[in-house]
Amino acid sequence: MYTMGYSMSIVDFHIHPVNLEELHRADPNLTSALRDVYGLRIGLQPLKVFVNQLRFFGVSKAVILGLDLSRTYGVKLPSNEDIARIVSMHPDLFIGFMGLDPLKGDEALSKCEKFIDKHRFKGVKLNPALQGFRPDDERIYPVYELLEDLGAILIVHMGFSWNIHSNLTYSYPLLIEPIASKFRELKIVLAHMGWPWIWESICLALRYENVYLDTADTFTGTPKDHLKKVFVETLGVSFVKNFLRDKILFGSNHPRMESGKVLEAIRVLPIEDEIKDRILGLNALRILGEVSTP
Amino acid sequence: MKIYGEYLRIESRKDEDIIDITGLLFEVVNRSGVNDGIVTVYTMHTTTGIAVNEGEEGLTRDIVKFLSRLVPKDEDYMHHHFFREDGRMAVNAWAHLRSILVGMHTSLPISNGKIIIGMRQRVFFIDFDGPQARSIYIQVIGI
Repeated sequence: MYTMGYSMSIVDFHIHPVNLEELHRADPNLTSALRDVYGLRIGLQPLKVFVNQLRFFGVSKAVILGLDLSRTYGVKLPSNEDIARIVSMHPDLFIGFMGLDPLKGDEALSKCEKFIDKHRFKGVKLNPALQGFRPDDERIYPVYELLEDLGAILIVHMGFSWNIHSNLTYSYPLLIEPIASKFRELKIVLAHMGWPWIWESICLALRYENVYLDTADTFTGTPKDHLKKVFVETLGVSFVKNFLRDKILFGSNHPRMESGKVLEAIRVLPIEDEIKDRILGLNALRILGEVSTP
Repeated sequence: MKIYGEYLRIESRKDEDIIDITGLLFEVVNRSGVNDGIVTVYTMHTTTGIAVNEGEEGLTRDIVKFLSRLVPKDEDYMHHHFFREDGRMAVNAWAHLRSILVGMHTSLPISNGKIIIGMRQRVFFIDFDGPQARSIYIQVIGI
């Protein structure tokens, strides 16, 4: 049985708090938006039960993501104000990342300043495939530049999505290369390891110090099946250990997949405990600036 | 004849949790005003169960452990694929199968306003895929 050794902290870097009962009670349209736009039909859970879920599975920090679909679908899943409220209720547990439409020009820039400076959000979540933009569109560069100046982290959906509204052309990992190259101080997390374009994602993570990968979701079976395919059968354990040990972050993509199930899948991987510690928490704490480089 | 029912919420606190709900049944029967009849408790979820057995702590842990052994997580289940209508992967066939083995409801007789239940018998709600907020329905039928 694996026990946490080095960092003693588990950070889930990829959570969408979209099935919280309190949010749906406050906004009756959220349930239909969740189903019709986000493609998710799921039971609602009160915040206290969600907090207990995370604590039960040993998650000590949880990155919760906003998603701004106001231009494309007229909804926010959820809004930055909701993210701020959830963080304020459990500041020891939750870390806020804002949703943003980067094509909104000055409005986008002022929102970044507001939520990152004033509300102490740590970064921005973008989903080009669902938000309908090319991530390498130069009109967006002022946003990337501001995020770099603010020391914020960009987490960007890359790779597959079951959501039929998504344009997968915009989630091809190599579209991020010009941004990674131009904004070298901007930490960029390629969500889902860009599956199935894993090697493209890894190219960027190997080439650029500022690019990271998260493990969120499971596309080919249970989390145990999927992560075994990725880490053991596709990449190989020694490659993960020697090349990617500081690059991979544990993320679940809750509620599409519960945090505890992805966590367990990482815990049983046949890799060394020290590497698991880095994936489960230490790498996240490092890019969040909460620990120095090991 | 009266028919009285209540939805109640149960919050499991572990991934596999067994929760004594006997007291809830007594409370609902009291509120129903039924003196002679039957009370049924039914879980609204396909990964939970309702069972009647002894409430000794070691035994409750044995029940959960036995079912886990009987239906292990790491098997090749056909249920484990993407559910388009839910927008997520199904990865918990073991929880459904354990639920089937336990059953999703139980009924107990009521006489003179009291539930007829053995000295050692307790009614349990079992969550096989927690922690979650869950719903049960308790219905009382009688006079």
